Amino acid sequence: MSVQTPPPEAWTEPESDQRPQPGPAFQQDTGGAAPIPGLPDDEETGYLRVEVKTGRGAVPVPGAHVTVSRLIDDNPVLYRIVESNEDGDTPLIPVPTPRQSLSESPGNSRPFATYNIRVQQDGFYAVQNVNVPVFSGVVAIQPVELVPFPENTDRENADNIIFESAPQDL
Amino acid sequence: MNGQPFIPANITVHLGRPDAYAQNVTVTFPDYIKNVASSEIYPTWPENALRANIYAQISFALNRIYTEWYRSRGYDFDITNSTQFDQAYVQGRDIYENISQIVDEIFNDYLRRQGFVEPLFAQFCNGTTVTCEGLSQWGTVALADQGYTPYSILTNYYGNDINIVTDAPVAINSPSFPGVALGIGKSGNDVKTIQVRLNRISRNYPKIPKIYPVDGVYGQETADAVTEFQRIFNLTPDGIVGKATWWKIAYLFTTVKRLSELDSEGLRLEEVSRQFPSLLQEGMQGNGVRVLQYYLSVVAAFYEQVPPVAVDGFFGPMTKQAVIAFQKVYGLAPDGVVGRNTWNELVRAYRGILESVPPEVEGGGVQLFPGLVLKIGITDPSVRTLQEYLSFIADTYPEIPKVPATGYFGEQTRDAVIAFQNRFGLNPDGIVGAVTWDAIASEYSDLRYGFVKRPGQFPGYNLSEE
Repeated sequence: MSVQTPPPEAWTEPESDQRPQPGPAFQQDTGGAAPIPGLPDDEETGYLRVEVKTGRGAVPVPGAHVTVSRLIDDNPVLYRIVESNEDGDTPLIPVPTPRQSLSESPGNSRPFATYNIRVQQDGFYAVQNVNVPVFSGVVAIQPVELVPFPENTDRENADNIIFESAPQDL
Repeated sequence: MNGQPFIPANITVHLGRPDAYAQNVTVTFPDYIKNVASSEIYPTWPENALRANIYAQISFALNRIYTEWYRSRGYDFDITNSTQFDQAYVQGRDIYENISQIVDEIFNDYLRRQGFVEPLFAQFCNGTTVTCEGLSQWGTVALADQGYTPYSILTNYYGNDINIVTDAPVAINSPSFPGVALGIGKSGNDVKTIQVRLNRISRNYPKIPKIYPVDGVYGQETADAVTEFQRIFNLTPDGIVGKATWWKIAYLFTTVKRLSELDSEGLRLEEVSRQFPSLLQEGMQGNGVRVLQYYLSVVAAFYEQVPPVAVDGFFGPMTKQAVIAFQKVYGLAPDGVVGRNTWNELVRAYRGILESVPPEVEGGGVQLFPGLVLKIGITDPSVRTLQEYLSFIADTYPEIPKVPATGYFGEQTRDAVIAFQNRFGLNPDGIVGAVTWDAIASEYSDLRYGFVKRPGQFPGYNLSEE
């Protein structure tokens, strides 16, 4: 373990000759996924990727059926259907979001869009993620841990597992 | 907790106020912080504001753990997700990639007030509808916009007499990050560790190309495997093993190995009856408890609500907590006592897991310690197994001599054991008890199953026509 100095001496941040500069802005690696063209003025592009695994992330689940729905006036409208690859990952999905500027100070309207995501694969409980928040310019990774059906589960009546995301309380 | 703070392997979060009846989840510490950060702040904020907030969130959580705030009061969790008491955590939520990358870099750094050992109890609030002693979340945005660094933001709220402690020890079974990034041109034991681990991980994630030979030299092959790993696990894909990549490999390796270890455990218990052994509860011991703990461990590897337990045959408080957690998941009376209903549900869950895990991911189980301490003069089938394991390992570690698999433990075998013990930091006494056996079997498993490639996976060497 490295400690800057042992207590109780005062620790000061190393001096720099330059005046403080604003920190670097994050450049998202969107892996080539482009912003959505032709969006209305009050919308920008965010990105979603779903990662489908089991065994606490040890085992990827390929071929899972992933449905992304956009919530429009709280009603879910189908937006995309994709499948997970051999790493359990879906492709990066560009999605409309409110403008980033809304998130930069308090008191604006909600600065993120919300989506529902449903993941289903044979042998596992289906999972629904509800009200998944996505911000402009940011890649939102939705990890989905699938739980295997217990033996002799009545699959007709098997429950979905539902996760609700609380909106940021800012 | 006394002594220097460290990062726990896992943290158990109560999904409600402390006295509310609610489930707990047990997750890795980095994943917990990523969730907290994604729940508490906006990912579009300036990076220095994000970092300052995340340092505070890490310190807050470590303080709860170090002071055993909830555990010492009899609760069976480390922290809650109630923002009245602790910090926001939304089980199952999405994680923002930029936040994930910051956390991977600083998850074992924390704030500490000079003159104190414990992590700073770094309180915070949003700074608009709620004000408090401590960090203002919206305030950090304004300061970052003015050019404040993360440290200067933090001293603004917590005072000048705080330090950022970096690279705290991490309580998972892994050597620490060596302090300098590993890249093309480097060589040594740390590189070999990376190569062995990536090969083992690539068994579950076959897009990661195999590295062959495993020689401790960081060449293009190693860089390619690292880059693919980084791409899959949301790290900057630069092919260099810095701190974030080092620890991500360590955490994932631990998770992947867990399933192999359970596999070995299952093999060991094959002869033990799986029938309901009559009521099991705290205080009991024996094979029935061992089988119960084995089933609970397999379930815990697939259910975040169930904490892992040791398979030691003694039904203590940890086993009881795991039983209660399981009962809550299945809507059974959470009394911590295993009657026929709980047992049957547990077996059903266990069998369901076995059905769903693909066969090429399973396995990697090796023979467990035979219960007989092996040393000079002993003849036994387990000595032959030991010699086979050592000779296989010797292909990758030339400092370990090969030994013929005769089943007789003579001087050659003892020398090979000592060489292994020296290489792997064990007491070099040439005697194979449980600890040395487990280390040898574990390394054998990593190498053996790291080399087996899946169909279509690049094997790490060129096939040519001769």
